[in-house]
Amino acid sequence: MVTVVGVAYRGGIPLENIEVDFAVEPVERADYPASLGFGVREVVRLKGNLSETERVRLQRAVRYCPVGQALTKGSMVVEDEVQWLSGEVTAASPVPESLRPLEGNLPAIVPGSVHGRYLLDTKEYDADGGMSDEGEAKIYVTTENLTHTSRWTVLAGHSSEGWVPPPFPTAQAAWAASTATTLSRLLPFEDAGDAESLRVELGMSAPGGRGQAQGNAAAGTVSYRNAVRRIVAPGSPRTMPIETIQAALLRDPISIAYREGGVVLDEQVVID
Amino acid sequence: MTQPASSSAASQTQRNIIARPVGEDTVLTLIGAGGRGPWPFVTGIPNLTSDIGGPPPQYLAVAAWAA
Repeated sequence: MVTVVGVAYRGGIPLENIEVDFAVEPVERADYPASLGFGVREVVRLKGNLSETERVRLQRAVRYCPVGQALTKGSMVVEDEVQWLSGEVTAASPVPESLRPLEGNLPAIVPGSVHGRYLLDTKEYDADGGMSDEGEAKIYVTTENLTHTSRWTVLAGHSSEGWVPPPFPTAQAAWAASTATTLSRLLPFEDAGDAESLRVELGMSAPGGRGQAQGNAAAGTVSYRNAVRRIVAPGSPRTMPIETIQAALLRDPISIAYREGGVVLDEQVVID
Repeated sequence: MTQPASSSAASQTQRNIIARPVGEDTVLTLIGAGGRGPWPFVTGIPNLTSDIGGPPPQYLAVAAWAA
């Protein structure tokens, strides 16, 4: 949402408001048969007196926002490395083509929904009246847990004081969490407490900043971003071989989306 | 080939997002370690015995996408 707000502002497009709905569902991946991925059905609602040209420009921005590019267009260039608690560190990319995904059970992906509202009154202006920060979005998340339905709210966006995290780092936090979840479930730990000594660390490049990202979104240009993902693993290369860790990473749902895309099952942009 | 810590090119990149498991069903992730923030997130996984500690990671990714 904040990318579209920024594109509209920079392009002088009279966008008055925006809302987004995602329905999330499990999807079995043919290319990774041992994995259950996730798919989304997306509806974006734009409010404003928009011309056809403006609608097309904003629709393109919807498709090419930085997080959408990472999840659907292969924009993430990932370099993996592993550091064992014994001290050794080694590159874990590229993965040998012959390596098979590690067997084992991953958490179920349950159906649910994500509803996003743009918080209009959080938009910030500079002394000349120009927009300095796009403001915040409030996101309502609902999932069907195996016990009962669960709900959370998440705030993200662009604020000068850093009240909320920007969307792209939030998405990478999700990737780190997904990686940690996947490895903690699949790796053959020697002791029960070893999983808690696991750590996933991410470092990102930020090519061009926010203005460049919005320009790319408006133009429909894929902006590649480099990421270093370090797995800090218990044990040593002998007790936790690099191939085992690489094979487990092949099962991670968000990593699969970064490599293969395919999470968009349906998308609509509606003008109100 | 393994190397001593901090000698590879990748090791020189500042890592500012850190995630670690807490218990069996929860991961704590921090954005901004050493930079802006910090912004913590708790993610969880569906299970039969207790409520989820936070949204599953895929849902946090989609929430970020929505934002």
